[in-house]
Amino acid sequence: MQKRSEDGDFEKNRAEIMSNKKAAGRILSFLGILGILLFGLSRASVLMNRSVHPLFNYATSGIFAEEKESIDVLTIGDSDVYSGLIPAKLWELSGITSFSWGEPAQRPPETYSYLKKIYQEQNPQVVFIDVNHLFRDEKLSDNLDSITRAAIEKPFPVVLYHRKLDSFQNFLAQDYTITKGYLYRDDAKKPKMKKNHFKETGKITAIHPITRWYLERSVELCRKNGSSVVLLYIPTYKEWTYSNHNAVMELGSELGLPVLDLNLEMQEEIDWGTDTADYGYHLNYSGAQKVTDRIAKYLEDNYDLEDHRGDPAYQRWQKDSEAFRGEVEKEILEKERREKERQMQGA
Amino acid sequence: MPYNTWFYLLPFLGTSLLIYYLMPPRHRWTVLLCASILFYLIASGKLILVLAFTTLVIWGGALRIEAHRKTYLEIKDTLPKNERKEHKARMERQNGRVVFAACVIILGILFFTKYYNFVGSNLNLLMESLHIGARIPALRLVMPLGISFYTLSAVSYVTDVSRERCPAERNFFRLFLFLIFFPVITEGPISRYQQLGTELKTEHRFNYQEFCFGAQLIVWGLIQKVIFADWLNRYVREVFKYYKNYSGIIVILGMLIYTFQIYMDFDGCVNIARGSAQMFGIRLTENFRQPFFSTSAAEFWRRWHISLGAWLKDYVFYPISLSRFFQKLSKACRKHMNRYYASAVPTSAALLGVWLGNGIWHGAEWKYIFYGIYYYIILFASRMLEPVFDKICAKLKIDRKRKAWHHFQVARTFVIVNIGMLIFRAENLGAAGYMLKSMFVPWDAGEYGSLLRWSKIECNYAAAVWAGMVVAVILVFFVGLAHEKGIRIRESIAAMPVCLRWAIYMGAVLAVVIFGAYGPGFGEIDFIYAGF
Repeated sequence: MQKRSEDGDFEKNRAEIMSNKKAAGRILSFLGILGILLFGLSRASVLMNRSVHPLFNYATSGIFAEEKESIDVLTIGDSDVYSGLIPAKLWELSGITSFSWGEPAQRPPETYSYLKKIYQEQNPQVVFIDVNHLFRDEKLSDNLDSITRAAIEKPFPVVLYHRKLDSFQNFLAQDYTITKGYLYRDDAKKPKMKKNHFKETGKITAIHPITRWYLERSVELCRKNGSSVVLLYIPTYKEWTYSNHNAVMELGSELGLPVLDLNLEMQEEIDWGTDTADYGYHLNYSGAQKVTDRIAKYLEDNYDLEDHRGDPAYQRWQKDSEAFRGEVEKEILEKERREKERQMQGA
Repeated sequence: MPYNTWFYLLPFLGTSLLIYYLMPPRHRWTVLLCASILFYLIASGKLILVLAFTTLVIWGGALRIEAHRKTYLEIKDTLPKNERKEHKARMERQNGRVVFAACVIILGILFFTKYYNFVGSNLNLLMESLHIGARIPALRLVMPLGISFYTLSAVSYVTDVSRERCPAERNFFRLFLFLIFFPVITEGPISRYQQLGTELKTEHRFNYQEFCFGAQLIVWGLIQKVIFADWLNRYVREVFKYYKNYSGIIVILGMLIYTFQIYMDFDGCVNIARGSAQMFGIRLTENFRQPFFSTSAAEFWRRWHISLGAWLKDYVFYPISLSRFFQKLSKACRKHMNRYYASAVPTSAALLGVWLGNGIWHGAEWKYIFYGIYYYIILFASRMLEPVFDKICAKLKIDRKRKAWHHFQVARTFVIVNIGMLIFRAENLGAAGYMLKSMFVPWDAGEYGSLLRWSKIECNYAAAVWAGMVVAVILVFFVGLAHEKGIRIRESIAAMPVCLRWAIYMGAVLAVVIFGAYGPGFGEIDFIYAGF
């Protein structure tokens, strides 16, 4: 009796294991097919993230269309980066090749992940790490979510570019960009100005330890590849605070990194009435030109980077820079024409 | 930690499930406990100690109650009949004191963290108007995650043990798991130990169908939250924040859209929670049952946030209506009133406590208290005037069994609920009044005319969002209708051929990925009820 009962249990367990194995097989097949579909969508989303209009083709994937190890200066961070630094102008000013890598709302774990990918193709001598994105994830759960997202984005970038999936015309766009990551914007929308915006304070914004850890890993990666790292705070009226500045200064001294806070340094030069595209969040073309001038000067003063202008190997950069200028001029003329038309309609 | 984050859905839930099913069934509850503690630590850090203290109070209280009962049962048979009653009454008094003390402590923590500043600021205003110099200082208090939900579960546990509805749990950690169980900690459903406690104690084996049904419920919850609710957030935020800029149709749309948003947000969260639990083989109670098919406000509250309504009925309404004062009131009513009002008046009076409780539970603001009173007035009036309505209907020869009457009732309830939602969402009571009035002021597009195009809030998908919203409402309506008719959609899909079935599931997952309102430009839109 006992034996039969044991046999019965054994049979039951065996059947359960078999059915569990079958279930696991089904689940894995389902996930496999789903993975393939997501991979296909991801590929499409990366292609649609580009633009057929050369002036608005600022996709970060453009860096991988550049010649290997041809970029001298890399700026990496969130939307402030693609709004605030014009590589074509930097070339015009100093003959330095650069790329502005910024994804909207980019987080430090993503920065680290992107840097690893970039270093497979490029070896910039100077890397500016934008610090605005160090203040985004304040809570542990936010940081863990950012780490997860950074991991998912690698095989499935559709989670990053899913809103671009309706731009079918961009299938025809090119990987290679003349903007080198910069997004042209000419709107000027003034923010609500605060009286004590730049007033000094002793307060220091806390940077979450996980955020800091990822920044340190990024810095370590850059140093290992022989790049000099600079912590850069691109002007942003809405998001900059004096306590953020203090936190960045403290971080810079602890990590032995130079800090370039252009919010404070350029407070006289940046006119928030004319230099921001969206009420103080991001710079427009006018503001970005000023920042690029300042960066060119900073690089000239602190680094011995080669001026490639006139070097036949860099002819394409000269052409791209001219093409960019041409596109900007066309856009300005187009805007003036639209303005006149509107005025005439109004009259 | 919101349930619609990558971290929750993939590494957290995935790893928990894997370890859970790799463990022998009798130890699986410990995996849930560890996962729940980790979840709470990530979300609320050291505030987990508050939750542990609450558990300690009800654990100790329940054991005490059972010890009193055991002592009574031991001597019961040795006692003469007349003394038995006396001992039983003493035991009940003792247990009543334990329940009272436990409730004072755990509700005290809730009231202190949630209402201290509200009470303080109102008392300060009062003292100021009475020219009293003293002031109650404001404190920076942080509420532990889910305190409004787990406190009610804790009260129900200790009360149910004293009512002999469930035995006292001897294992502290099992009771801790009942309160901290991660799928219910953020937004409920408010659980009862008889149900969830038993589920958590049961040794669950892997069940493929339950596992898949759970995953499907999560995906449906994500569709509700990330596609339906979150896309609407911009419109709702704009209209309710800058309400003085809008009137007429824009405000009416704002109110309707908010009602849809909060329904999708809350039901979506509960579905993700129920789906998560079901993947572990654990069933949670329903919190919504097609509330917009209700024919009255009372029925709406039996279908909307069911677990809160049921809790208020069991632990507020019954104790009030069975109290000595209400027994006396009932007796007096029977003496002086006809049969209908003799029953309706005391019941309606007892309901005041329920609706005040409902309002206050939602938050420390006057608008929430008024929200509770608003429903109380409607239910009180409908109860008191029912005989009058009966007479009017009889005179007008209205056939109440006709479908048209049913539809009229549903539409009437819909309007009542929407007005309630406007009060609920408005910045404050003044703003609610302003918006209700401004609905009747024709809309002059002027400077803000672009809102209908959604462009004021910089949305490039205006037409798509409007069209999507219409599709969403239609879809939710038909899903609700199917449930009303007793059709189980998940089971119907499961009966389909595998290709079709998988196409539906994959389509749903891809829809969340493609159309979800997440990522840059959206920020993280917290679950609305997580704030309560």
